Amino acid sequence: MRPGFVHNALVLVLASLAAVVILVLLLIWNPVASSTEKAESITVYCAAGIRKPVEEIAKAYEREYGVQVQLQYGSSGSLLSQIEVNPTGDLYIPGDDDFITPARQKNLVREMIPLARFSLVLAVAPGNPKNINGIDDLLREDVKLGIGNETTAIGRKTAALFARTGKAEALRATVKVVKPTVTEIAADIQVGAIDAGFIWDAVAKERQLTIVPLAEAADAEAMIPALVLTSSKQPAAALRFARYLAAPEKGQQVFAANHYEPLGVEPWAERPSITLFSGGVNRVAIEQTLAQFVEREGIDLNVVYNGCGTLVGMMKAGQKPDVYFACDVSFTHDVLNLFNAFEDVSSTPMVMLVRKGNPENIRTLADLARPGLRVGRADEQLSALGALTKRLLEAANLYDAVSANTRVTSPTADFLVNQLNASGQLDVVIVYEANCSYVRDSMEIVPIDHPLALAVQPIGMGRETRYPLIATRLIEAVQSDTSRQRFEAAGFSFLHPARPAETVAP
Amino acid sequence: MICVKALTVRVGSFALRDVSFEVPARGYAILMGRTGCGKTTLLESICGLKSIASGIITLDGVDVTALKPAERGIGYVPQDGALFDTMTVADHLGFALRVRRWSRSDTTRRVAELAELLDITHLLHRRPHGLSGGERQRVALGRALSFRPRVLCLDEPLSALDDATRRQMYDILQRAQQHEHVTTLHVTHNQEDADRLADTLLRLENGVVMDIPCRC
Amino acid sequence: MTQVSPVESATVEAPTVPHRVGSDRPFYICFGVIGGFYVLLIVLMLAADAWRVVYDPNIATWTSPHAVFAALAAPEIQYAIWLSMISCTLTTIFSLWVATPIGYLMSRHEFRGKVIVDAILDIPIVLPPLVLGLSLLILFQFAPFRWISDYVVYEVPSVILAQFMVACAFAVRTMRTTFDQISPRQEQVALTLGCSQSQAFFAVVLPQARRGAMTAATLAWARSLGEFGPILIFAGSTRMRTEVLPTTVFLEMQAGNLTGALAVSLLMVVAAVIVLVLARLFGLRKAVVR
Repeated sequence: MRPGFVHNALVLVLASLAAVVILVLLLIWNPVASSTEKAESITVYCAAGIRKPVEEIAKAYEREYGVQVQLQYGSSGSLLSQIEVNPTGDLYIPGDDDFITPARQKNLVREMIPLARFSLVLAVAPGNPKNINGIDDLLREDVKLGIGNETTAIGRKTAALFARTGKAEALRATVKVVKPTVTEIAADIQVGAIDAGFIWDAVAKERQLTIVPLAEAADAEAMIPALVLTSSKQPAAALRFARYLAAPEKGQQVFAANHYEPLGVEPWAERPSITLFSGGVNRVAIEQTLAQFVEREGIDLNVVYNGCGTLVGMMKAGQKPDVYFACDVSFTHDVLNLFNAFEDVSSTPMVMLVRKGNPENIRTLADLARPGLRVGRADEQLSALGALTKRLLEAANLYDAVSANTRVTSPTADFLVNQLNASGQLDVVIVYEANCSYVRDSMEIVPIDHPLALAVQPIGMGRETRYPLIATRLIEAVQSDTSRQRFEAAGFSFLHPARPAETVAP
Repeated sequence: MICVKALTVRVGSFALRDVSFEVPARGYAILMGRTGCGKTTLLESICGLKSIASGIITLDGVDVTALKPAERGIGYVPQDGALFDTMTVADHLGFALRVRRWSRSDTTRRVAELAELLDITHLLHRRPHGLSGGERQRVALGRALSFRPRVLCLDEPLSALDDATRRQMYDILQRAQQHEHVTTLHVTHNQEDADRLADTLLRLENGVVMDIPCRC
Repeated sequence: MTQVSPVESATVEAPTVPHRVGSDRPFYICFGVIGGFYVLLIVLMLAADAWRVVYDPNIATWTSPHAVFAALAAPEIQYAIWLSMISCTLTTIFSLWVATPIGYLMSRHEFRGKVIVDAILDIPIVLPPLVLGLSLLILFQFAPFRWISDYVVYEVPSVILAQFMVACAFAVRTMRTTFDQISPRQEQVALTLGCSQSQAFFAVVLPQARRGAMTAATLAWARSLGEFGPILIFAGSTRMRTEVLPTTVFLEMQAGNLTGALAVSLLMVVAAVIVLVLARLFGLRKAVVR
């Protein structure tokens, strides 16, 4: 009962501090959302040719995050067969991109992340003692040429290059030796057994051989991809390591040090965070898809649902979402400079929503002009729906008559649905069909038979996004077949053709 | 001893100008003046609660003009008592002592002593809410005297009391002053207060000068 | 001049009829009716909402209670409740931390530019919610805010910050009025008794401000619970992360799910009433014990 002085203050301050600490801890502890499963280990099938960089990166990853990376080496082709026979494991890193298509065709892999690039070069002994400066020099009597076997990537690329020169026959005739691997050709050049050979630039640089620039070899490139296996039970963990391999400040350093040309662009983050701006109308259709995407990718997705006018305002105020899914094409015009091309995902027709049983017997747009009918419309200035409604009514020569019947204008379509739903003051409202998914059973939808009665929802990727690959995959997820069903269930028409996301026709 | 020299205080458009006076050590001075003539302002200036424009205030020879209220050692009883609503009477009497970090036993002894002196022992566990006017003033007086100040400033302490209580308070004030040996400056507009208590009489008029000039 | 006319004196005499005062009952009935009308309006409104949740007049069918409870049992909704409660409480504590010093300074001290500061303190109340959210977003594009932007914008802290911006303004107003009503006398006495300014504040002023602080806390808490405009923009509406109850209501409305929106709203009302009643009981009981 003795009120101290500083004591009193101290108790207050400490008590509230303690309360803050407890509350913050509660927030962090977060009973529901903390589902960050940490993988114990992941299995990676890796082409033997790129063993060195991948092994080094895997070691660093293990050190940094305590996740064991089980590496299985082999030739790209045999690894693929192995995966096909025994679909286990998480990641497949073939030696070049030729293996992507067969893997996709057999539905063995899902996401692809490009890691590094290398190209076919003509290598000669250091200093170029034989003075080889072009394709024609290879045909010289005194030049011994070595190439790779055509069953290997290097052999195929070399054959393709020969074909491009137009002197394939002559070149093939002049070949001194055909070797099964790149390293053997390189070794032969080093010891002087041959004078020139077609090998990868990474190998040539590592062995300090001289590279002869060839105009014909310009396009002879190969790419090392990381492919997430369809069979992976921990896709988020697999993707995380793939992103680590491709991160410029992580795996890409090692690839560069090993003379590969790094292709990774997305900066490293254990849980990258990307932002989606979406029109509120689209939420019902995409919410489930987004949840699954987040689960699979192991990322944080910030979603901002709002009226598209507000979203455009936010973007004009400097916000740069990674992906923007607009309510209507008209809401992309002002922000086109922020995005790569928009793709139309879905459309939803404008409909007339009436009470169950259609007591006023409204059948066509013209019925709206009937005297005494109480009509609700969206505001022409504030909303795309309002502007589209006006255009539609004007085209049908009904604008003035319907305006006379209009009891209320609202800023958004959902307001109208709720107003019709909650009060008895309206007979009919003009809204998108997609607004009606929750009132299907309690209201009745009267279609409008007019080509102008349509809104189209486009999606686009932010030009400055730090995670263009993740953003692209997000867009693909929204355009996928699974997504299609959800859009159609929510009253949208799906505009995108079936995507080769899960199954692919050969 | 309280000595005020050439004190000037401005409060909005109102001002006390060039006020000087003196209260001898252990004296009981009554400062008379009509309502609104600046008595309270003068007291607050002495207590350090109002910043002054110019002048010097010394207490027992110590210049306190630049000191904080807490450092002046003045017991202050404002007009309405201004008791602390959330504290018991005992808390009031011990307040200044705990600020000064007196030991617990010393505090308890002092509180008991004051309670007996002011005849409020039976109230020690009560809160201000429900105390009578006389009781409130005694608690305020006890609180002001608790830390053995050199000077006591009373601002119309008896104005709200009925006549019987007022007479009772005269005795208590005299008893307290003799017991605690404080120099007292008591502001009032009531002539009876002056007749009963004063050994020095001062008058403040028109907010300008004192009728008894300073002799220090 | 010495004579006083009897007629004149009669005019100032009290009338012979004794002064009577009518019954006080009409006064109380009148006030009671007016007050009761408002209270009844609130209750009826909620009752209508509750009715609409369980019964859909458009098709004259009962919503199965199972469906309503299933909606409320969804982890997303539970997380929203959880986040709402915690963020509002945090906001309330932060608001009191800030509002107490501001309220005290504004109440006790005169300084140059006080009028301007006063006006500035009202801005969060006047600013349309959407603009407030947008302004916060814009602010976090500039250093030094930009440096922590990744941890704030679209994350949980942004929810609290958005709530705080508005709630604190209300708390400041309340605390200021509270301190205005506490006489500076007691503080002054405490100063003469040997207290420093801070000792006087914590020992004498703050205990008396308890009721005001309680009101400020209640107001701040309730304001933050209802806040969604700035949150929708500044924090987004990521399910299981930054979605609070009002956001849920807004999104369900946007989807045309009237029943869901109303059910969540009612849940919000129930939660708010429970918390506010508890807080008031607790606050008052403590005040009595002290």
